[in-house]
Amino acid sequence: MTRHFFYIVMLTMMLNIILNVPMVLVQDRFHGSIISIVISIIIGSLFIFLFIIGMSRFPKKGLPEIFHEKFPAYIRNPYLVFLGIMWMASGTFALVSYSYVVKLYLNPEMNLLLILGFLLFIIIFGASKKTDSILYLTEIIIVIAAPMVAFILFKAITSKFFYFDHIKRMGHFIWQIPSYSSISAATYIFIGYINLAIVNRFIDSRKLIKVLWTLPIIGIFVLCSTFFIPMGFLGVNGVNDVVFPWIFITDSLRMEFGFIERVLYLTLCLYLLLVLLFGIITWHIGLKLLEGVFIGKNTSAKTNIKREKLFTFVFLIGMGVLTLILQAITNQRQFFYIVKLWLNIRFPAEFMLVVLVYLISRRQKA
Amino acid sequence: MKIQNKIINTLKQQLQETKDLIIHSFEYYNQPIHLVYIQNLCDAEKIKTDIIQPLMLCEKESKFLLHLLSLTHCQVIQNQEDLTNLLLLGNVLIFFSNEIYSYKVISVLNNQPEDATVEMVVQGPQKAFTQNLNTNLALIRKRYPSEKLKVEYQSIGTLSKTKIAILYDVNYADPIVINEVKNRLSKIDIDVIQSAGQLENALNKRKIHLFPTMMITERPDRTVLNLAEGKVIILINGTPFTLILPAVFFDFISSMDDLFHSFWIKMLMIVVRYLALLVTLILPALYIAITSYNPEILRSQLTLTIAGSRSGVPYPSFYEVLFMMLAVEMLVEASIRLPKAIGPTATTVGGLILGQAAQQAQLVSSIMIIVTAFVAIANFTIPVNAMSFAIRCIRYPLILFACFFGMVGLVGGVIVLLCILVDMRSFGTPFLSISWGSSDKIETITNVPKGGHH
Repeated sequence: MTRHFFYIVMLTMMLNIILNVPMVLVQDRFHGSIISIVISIIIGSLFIFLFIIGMSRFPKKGLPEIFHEKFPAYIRNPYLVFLGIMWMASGTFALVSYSYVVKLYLNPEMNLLLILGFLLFIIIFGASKKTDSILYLTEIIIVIAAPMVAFILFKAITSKFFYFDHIKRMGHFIWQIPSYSSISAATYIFIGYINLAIVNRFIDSRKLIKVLWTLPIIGIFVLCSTFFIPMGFLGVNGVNDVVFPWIFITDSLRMEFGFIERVLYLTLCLYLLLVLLFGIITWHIGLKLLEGVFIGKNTSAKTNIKREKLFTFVFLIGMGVLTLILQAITNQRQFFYIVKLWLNIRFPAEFMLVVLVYLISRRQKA
Repeated sequence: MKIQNKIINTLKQQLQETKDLIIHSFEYYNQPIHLVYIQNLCDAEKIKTDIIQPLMLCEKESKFLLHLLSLTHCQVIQNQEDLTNLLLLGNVLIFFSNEIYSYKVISVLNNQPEDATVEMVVQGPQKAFTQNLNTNLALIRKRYPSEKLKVEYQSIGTLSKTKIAILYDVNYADPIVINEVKNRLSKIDIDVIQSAGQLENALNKRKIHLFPTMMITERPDRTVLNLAEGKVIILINGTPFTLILPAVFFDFISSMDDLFHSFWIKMLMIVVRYLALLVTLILPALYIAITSYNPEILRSQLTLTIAGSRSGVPYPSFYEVLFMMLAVEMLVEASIRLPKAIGPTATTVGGLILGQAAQQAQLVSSIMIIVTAFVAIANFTIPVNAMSFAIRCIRYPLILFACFFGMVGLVGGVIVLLCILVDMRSFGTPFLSISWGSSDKIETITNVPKGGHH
């Protein structure tokens, strides 16, 4: 099961090539984005390392069980709720962003709420499944999607509209003091490892430590492509004019001999697959974190299963309705402002969680 | 002696004075002997050779008794309550010197292996199982001469009392699975059970399900291969099909042929099969999504070709697809049930005339005819029937999703389908999960050796 951890980390990396992260990095491109990429790789790797070391001291246990042993209820429960909501929010934001993309490119005549509602339906359906089932699902989708993502990147780099000179021009802006939000956004690509908080129940995290060195390398590659490739296409200034630079540039790529001529549609379907999967995973992890709070362990097994099922559906549908309301009351500009705000809060929250898990694991004799 | 007559009379009453109950009474060694059996259930020849003839040859009573007891299926009855049961299971009851003996003389029907008709292979064993449980067991024992092979008998069905045998290799089979099987078998409450599919439905935890989680096969070679991979086999008397469990998704896409071909041929076959699976699942939905929602996805020449062929069609692509899919489903259903003599007529009328005419009348586009044929052919490449039927069914929800949401609906539908599949468990084994060639995997057609593990 060890490999499933990598799939989830890969998923968040691949997803953030096009969503949210490039938006922030591109905005801050003259204010130290490049340095922040370098810093974020160091910070991100450190976080992953500490968190995995921490979790590996608690074999086969998820975060709710660990907190259950270590903290009293009045500290544990609010914190788990906070983490659960934060985590579900990341899925929600990916979903809402993508519903704008769908509206823009695939179903222009359809109501935005209807599109989002459909996506939410799939996510609620998927997130209510068992944790190990979702890991199998992740594997299947990543195995299908990863080569295609690689193909799209390859197509982009070899395109004749890709000018390396634009990227060279960015060399002038290396030595800038990085802004906080760009570091915060760049570290976000590593966020997949947080899923270990629940997935640790199924994964032997000790085995992970040996192969961890691969993640920073993939991270460098992903961050560079998410930041530089749009710039090579659109120019240092022009890149700021589009909302989804990646989707914009894949529209200029052609597969001359394919059934599907425009790479754009391959990208759209592929990323729809990834966004839905990401939504399913984050909502599921959020659900499990909250289940640790609300569902007691001392009730009998049968009523517990019933209560769990009821809780799952009521909670997921409730969150679905909240997401719909969020989209209904905000426009795209406001929505991206919220995402940026959330990315900024997320960074200290992530930091706190990693340090906390690491510290309590030091006191745990493994 | 009176007691014996009394017993025979109660037997008669218990069996409703049925006319095929034969009571054969005669005197020998100066005492009455009664043979009681049900006429057509028992092999008269066997009664003659094993009981009557030796009786004539034995001068002393004790000698005949010794002979009787030396017969393999003969026993002295201690408990007189299940006499009717013994009769119904094909025993002859011998009332002799104040004792009752039962001897199994059931006439064996349908015990000749015939050619496999449902699951065929090109180069490989050709014979299927028979309808007789004992013959089937013998077939398996011959192919799998292992001292670790364990057989357990049970009977299922309150009225039919169908005999089933549970087989597994003690070394490889998972005890959890075996316990689960026995547990579920004990909970089955059904009157008559006559086929493997019926038992599969009864064993399934969910009453409403679509995908098969147990493999039904008529091939002894597949059964034995699965036995060697640690699966549990259930043989059912009266049907040439056996149940294999647990089964995973990939089992249903594998054919025994995969083992008999060389590597590249095998790879080609497997790739073709998975492509066919993809085609038969998503092509109709894709057609709707592309023609009705996102024609710009395809390259422009292809889009124009499709639009051109659809120009005369007076309704949305949804009707077109449903109409043609329905026609194919009916054709398939009709050709299963039809007598062989009429079969070709149905295919000619349905396939050639209807298809051609529908296209010329511009009720469906010619591209749609191609799609329909492609989908139907692709569906037939799935080697195991149960899965092929399930895939046929699951096509329609995808069509519906594509109708309402176009490409988004199709991608979403595929994810929903994957969610359902990965969440299924076949006796604790995940139904759909990739296991990258490890030797512990429970997957049928594999070249990874298992002997020597554990």
